[in-house]
Amino acid sequence: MRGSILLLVVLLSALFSLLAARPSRAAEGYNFAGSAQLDYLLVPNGPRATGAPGSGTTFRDFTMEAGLKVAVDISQHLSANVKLCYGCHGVEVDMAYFDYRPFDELNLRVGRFSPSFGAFNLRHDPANHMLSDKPLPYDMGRMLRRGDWNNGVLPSPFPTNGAEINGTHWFGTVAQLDYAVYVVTGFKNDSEPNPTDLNFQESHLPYYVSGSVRPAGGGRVALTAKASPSVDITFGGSGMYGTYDLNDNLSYAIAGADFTLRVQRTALRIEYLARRQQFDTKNPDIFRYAIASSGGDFFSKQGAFAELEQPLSSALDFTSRVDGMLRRGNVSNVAVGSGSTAATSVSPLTDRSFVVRETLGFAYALERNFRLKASGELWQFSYPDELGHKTALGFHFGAVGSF
Amino acid sequence: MPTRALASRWFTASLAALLAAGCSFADAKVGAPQDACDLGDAGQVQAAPGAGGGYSRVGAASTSAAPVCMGNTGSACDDCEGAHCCARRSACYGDKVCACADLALDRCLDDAKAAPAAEVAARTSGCWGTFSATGTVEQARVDCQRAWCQTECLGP
Repeated sequence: MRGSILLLVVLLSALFSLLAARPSRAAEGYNFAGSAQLDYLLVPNGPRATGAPGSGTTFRDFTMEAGLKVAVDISQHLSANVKLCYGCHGVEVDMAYFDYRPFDELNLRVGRFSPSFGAFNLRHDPANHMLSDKPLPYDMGRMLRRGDWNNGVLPSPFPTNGAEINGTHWFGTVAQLDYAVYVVTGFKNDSEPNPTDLNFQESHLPYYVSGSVRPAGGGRVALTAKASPSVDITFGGSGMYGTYDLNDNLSYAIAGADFTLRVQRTALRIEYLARRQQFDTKNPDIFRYAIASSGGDFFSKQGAFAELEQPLSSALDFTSRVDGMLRRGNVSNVAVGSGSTAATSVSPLTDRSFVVRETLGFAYALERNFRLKASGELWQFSYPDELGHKTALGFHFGAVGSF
Repeated sequence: MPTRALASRWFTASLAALLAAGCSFADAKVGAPQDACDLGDAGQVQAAPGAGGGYSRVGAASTSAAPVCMGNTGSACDDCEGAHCCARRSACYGDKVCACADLALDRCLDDAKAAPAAEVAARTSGCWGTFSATGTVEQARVDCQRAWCQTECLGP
């Protein structure tokens, strides 16, 4: 923690020194922004929902997310972005990169950033969405029974080090094509003798370096059509592939598709993600099931959400969302990150587990940049908790501000 | 063929191919549950009736090799497997899932033997097929039997 604070101070000092030292012409080109969300999660029932922190439990009570971002236009073609955020795992560098954009169709991004994947990640900051938490496919620790699931399909944000080429081409005023291809460090699990899943902790401090040899790669293509001045439709497809173990033997592949329809101020968003993940089968005793002779060395995790955002007045927004995940394949009885070679606990997941959640929420803007959020969630799991509950209720009460 | 019909056929075929690829992409398989049978506290499994005997089985929680390759057991299959497939046999009895599957195999073979003569071969083959499909350890054992002990263990 002390190291994180020290890093934050050093980075901010360096950033402000850079800004202060710049000539006045360039200094006009910087933008300083930030956001913070305080959220209270009330889960009235279920031992897994209310248990102490640890595997299989849920964050409850107050949680805080905050971010500070500086964007600097260094020249007409060169810009830099640095964003520091504070969340459940302390201070992190969410982004620190340079963009070199000779023209709209070609931009080179180098540094630390979340590679282009899906549509939601652009809105992952809590100030950019009307509900308190993220859709399940992108969940990063806020879901109930998160330890059982090891988070979502692709927990957002997913900053990593690397380079990306992206660009946008406009077809007059009727359509826009976005593309991105990238090579990045990707996800890891370097610390376990028998890796069975991505260890997202290794994407955080102090793991900004990697012992992996091969980088991960991926890309995204999205087409936006403007049907009328108040209606636009976007279709997108994304993919990512890499290896995550120290020997580059175990692969993961993530594919996604997204659809957004915007009619005036109403937005309908649908996204689907699927991750196919190989795991180490050298120690079959740690698994809940025997290793199948064919197709037994991987699991798949699929997730989807549909979200409707409807302003009810200039200050009040209504959001309804249905999201869920389906996990198929063998289950490890070793908690991710434990480093154990023997089963540490029996996972409650089966070879075909699912979770579905329905959410209704409201956001009320006290001022333009300060909103109160409230939402209710009904959770349905395929497997019971210790009390035999397959369903749970959750209530979020939050406030978010941005500047 | 009209262009529209051709396009429709291509679209349907492409969609089917995409769905098939998507299903296999996500279609992970598992073997039997690890807690499929209770091998006892001491881990010693009693040989099922008709199992042939002549070998000992190791503990449920143990994965170490054990002396399971003794000869002159009175069973041609056990003798052959002990002579030619000792490592894979040991691996099976050292793996709790394989040991469980072996118990089920023994029971299945006993039932097959008791079946009408016309059904014995098919049932026996089915027993081995089920055993082999349980997991990689089981399949490796059967592969070795097929290579070295086809007549003694799997029948003609």
